[in-house]
Order: sequence, then structure tokens, then C-alpha cells
Amino acid sequence: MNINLHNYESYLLQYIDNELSAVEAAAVEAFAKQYPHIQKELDNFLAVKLTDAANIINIDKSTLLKQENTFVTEANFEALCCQYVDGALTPVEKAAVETYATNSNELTAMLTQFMATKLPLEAITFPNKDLLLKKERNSKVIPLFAWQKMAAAAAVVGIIFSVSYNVFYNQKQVPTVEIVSNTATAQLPKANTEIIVPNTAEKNTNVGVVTVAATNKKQWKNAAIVIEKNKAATDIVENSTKENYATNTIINTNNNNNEKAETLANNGINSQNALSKFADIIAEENNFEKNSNLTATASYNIIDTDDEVDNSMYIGAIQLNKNKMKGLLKKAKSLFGVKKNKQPDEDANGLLQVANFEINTSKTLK
Amino acid sequence: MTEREYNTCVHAYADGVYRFIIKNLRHEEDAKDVVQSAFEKLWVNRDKVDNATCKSYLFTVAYNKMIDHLRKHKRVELKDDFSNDTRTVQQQIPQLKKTLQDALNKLNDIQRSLVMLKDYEGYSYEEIGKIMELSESQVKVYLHRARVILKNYLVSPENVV
Repeated sequence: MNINLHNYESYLLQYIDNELSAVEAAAVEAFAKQYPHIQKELDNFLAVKLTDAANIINIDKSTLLKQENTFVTEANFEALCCQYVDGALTPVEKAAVETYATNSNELTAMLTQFMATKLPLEAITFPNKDLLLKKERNSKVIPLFAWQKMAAAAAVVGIIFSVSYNVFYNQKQVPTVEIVSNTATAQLPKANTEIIVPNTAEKNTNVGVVTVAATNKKQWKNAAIVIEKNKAATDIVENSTKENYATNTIINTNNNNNEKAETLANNGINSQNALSKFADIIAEENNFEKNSNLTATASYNIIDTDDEVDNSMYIGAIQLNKNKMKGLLKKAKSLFGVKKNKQPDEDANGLLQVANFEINTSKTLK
Repeated sequence: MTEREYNTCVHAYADGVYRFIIKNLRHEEDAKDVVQSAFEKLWVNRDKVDNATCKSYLFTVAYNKMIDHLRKHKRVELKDDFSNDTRTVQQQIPQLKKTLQDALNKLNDIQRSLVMLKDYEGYSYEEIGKIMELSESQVKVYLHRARVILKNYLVSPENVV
């Protein structure tokens, strides 16, 4: 290192900046001692050098520092204590509050004091709760009056059904059966004649007359089936084509077409034999006895081997028990009578008014 | 709501509602009247109230009837000592509880109701708000104030437990 009067200034600056090594710094100091004006220059540089490291303005580092737990602060600690007591904090938040409280005794005491404000549960009972209770109704129990109503409605519906069945269905579908004998003069069976077996013209003396009045083969078969006891008649129809044909022919001409009937008779088709045979079978099956007093050979007396009192009644083709019908109608009567709180209306003629229907009790039940 | 469901509500919530009202009114007969009125209203409106919401409905109705009752009777002064009043609930309670009860009496009606709905029934802020027709933030703030009053009362020198 060669310091001279031509290059000493740069060495002085490096010396001030502590950029020189110890040997070089010593050389600069030795050179400055040789020349008083250079020493004075060096001293002036050293005077303006900043050397007070302690003269630093301290700032509040708390605003710069990163908090490990930012949820709880001094400002919100009280509010969080209330929420802690209210149970409104999550487990993590609760732990944060508890942790924060451990920072000082005051914080711990504050949290404890707030926890003491939580009301303990007290068992207080309302006296006589029966005053508040309402009586339970069993929804399964149907009031008696409702049952009566339902029974009455069912009875009326049953009556309507059976009557309309007879009126509308039986008449069209199931013709009556009447065997008319002695048709030599081509007296044709009457169409759709009402079944009058048994016919109670006199007590214990029933004249049984069976009339065939079907319009086609199917109806003829149906007619035979309708008379439950006349199984033999059905056999005749099925097994004897001639007789069947004859009978059907007669049946088909039951609109008083006498001329056709005569023609058939002249052709050798013995309709009388078929009808007579049929009548005999029916008589045997039904315990009919030939009544010699009657002109119609197909008229039979029914031997009454059953109980004196016949409890059957017929509505169309349906055989009903009189006693049961009586009971049913009586019930309906009483139900409607109960509702109106008076005896059922049954006038002197024995007419019972049930809803919109009039039932003639004197004719039906006797 | 069927009769059975209604009666189930009676058994489940009658005591809680009664406790809530009697702690507020501090009068047994008045509290019984309010509770009966609340359940009567529930019965009348049983078709409109769900079984699941009947508890909050009961508390809402009971609270409103209690407020109406208080306004009607203008109870301004708080009785501090009920020991001679035979109509109030008499029971031996520890000192802390008694102090707490006294502190509770220092609150106003809204603050007291808030604390009881929170501590006795465990309702959330939102649910309490619906019952008392307050917003959730209002509930929080009012409840906070109530707790501070209770705490300060408990830690005051004359009441240190």
C-alpha cells in the first residue's frame, strides 16, 4: 500500500468507512501523523461520523408482532366471557377464551365471576296440571247413534237393491216359467207370467203352475234354472231336442200367434207331450198333486209337507225369510222412530214410510 | 295437534313455563293464571300449531301475557323480601342462590327474561329473539348487559360470596 500526497484522500474515506484492514488503517494513521494538515482533515471526517447506535426511536412493536391467538383480545374478552356462559361458543373458541384467561389472575377471576352469573336449574312444578289437561277422545269409538244410522242406511240400501234387482234385472233376464197344459187349442203360454209357485190361493193348498214364457233357447234354459227344484226340467231341455225345439217354437210364438202354433202342431211336433212331460217332472220334484177338480191338467196341488207356517217369501227369484225381513224392517222402523223421537209412522193400512219408500207391511209380512 | 299431543305438551312444558313466569312475576296465583291462559290459547289454536314448535309457541304466548299483566298492574317497584308473602315459593336455598336471585331481581323485565330463557330453557339467541321479538344482536347485547349487572352485583363488597 503506497499512500502519498496525491492519493491520501481516498484512503482517508476508506478509513472513515472502516473499509481498510488493520494494517492499512495503521498506515493511514501513520501517514496522517507525518502531515498535520492531513491529520486535521482526518479528524474532521471522524467528527461527523454517526456513532450513537443507542439513539434509536423505539416504536410500539405490539402492533407489528403477529398474535398466536387472535380470537380473544383484551377488548372483546368480556363479551366472550358472556358468550362463554351462554354456551354460544364452539369448543375451539371456548378453549381460546380459557387459554387467554390464564394470562393473568384478573382475567381468570373475570371469567369465573361471569360463570357464577349462570342461573342454576331449579325444579319448580306447576300445581294441579289436571286443570290444563284435555280429555282424550278415543277415535276408534263410534257413537251409538252413528251405528244406528249406519244400520238404517244399510237396511234401506238392501231393500232398494233387492227391489230394483227384481224389477229391473229379473224381469228382463230371467223369465217366469209356466207350464200350460191342455193347449190343444193352441193356448199359448203367457209371456213373462209371474211365478206363482207356490201359490197360496187357499191355506195349505197351493196350486202349482209353472209357465214357460222364454223367447229364446237361452231364456228357456235360464227359466228352468230359476226354478231350483226343477232340475229334471233342465234335463228335458238339454236332452230332448225335439221337445226343446217344440217348446221353444211355442215360446217364440207367445205373442198370440196361434196360426203358427197350429201349423207346428200339425207337423207332428207334439208340444203337448213335451209340456206335459215337463209338468210331470216338475210336479214330482215339487210334491205337486194333480188336482182333478181343476180343468188345467198342469195345475197341481202342492202337498204341504213343510211347517204349517211358511216363512218364505219371494221377491222376484230371490227367496227370503219372512222373519228375517220382519226383523230388518222393524229395526229400520225403530231407528227412524228413535231419530224423530216418536213411534214410526204406520197408518191404518199398514203402510210404513221409510225414507222415500213405502212398505206395505200388511201384504209383505203376512 | 290431537288431544294426546296437547296433553303431552302440558306434561312436558307446564313446569318450565310456570318457572319462567313465576320467576318474573314473583306471584304464584298470577303466574298460574298466565300459564293457564297460555295453554288455553294453545288449545284454541291447536290446529295451527305444530307439535314440534309448541314449546316456543307456549313461551311466546306466556311471555306476551306476562308483559300485558305487568303493564296492566303497573308493577314498578321490585319487592326485595318475599319472606312474609305466603303466595311466593318458599324454599331453603343456599346463600349463593339467594344472592343470585337478588341479583336477578335487580334486572329489568327484559333482561331477566333473557337470562332465564337462556339459562333455564337453553334457547339460542335466535330463538330467544323470536320469543321476545328482538333481533339476534339485540339479544346478545342485552344479555351481555344483564350478565355484567349480575356479575357486578355478585362481586360487590356487600355481596361477596
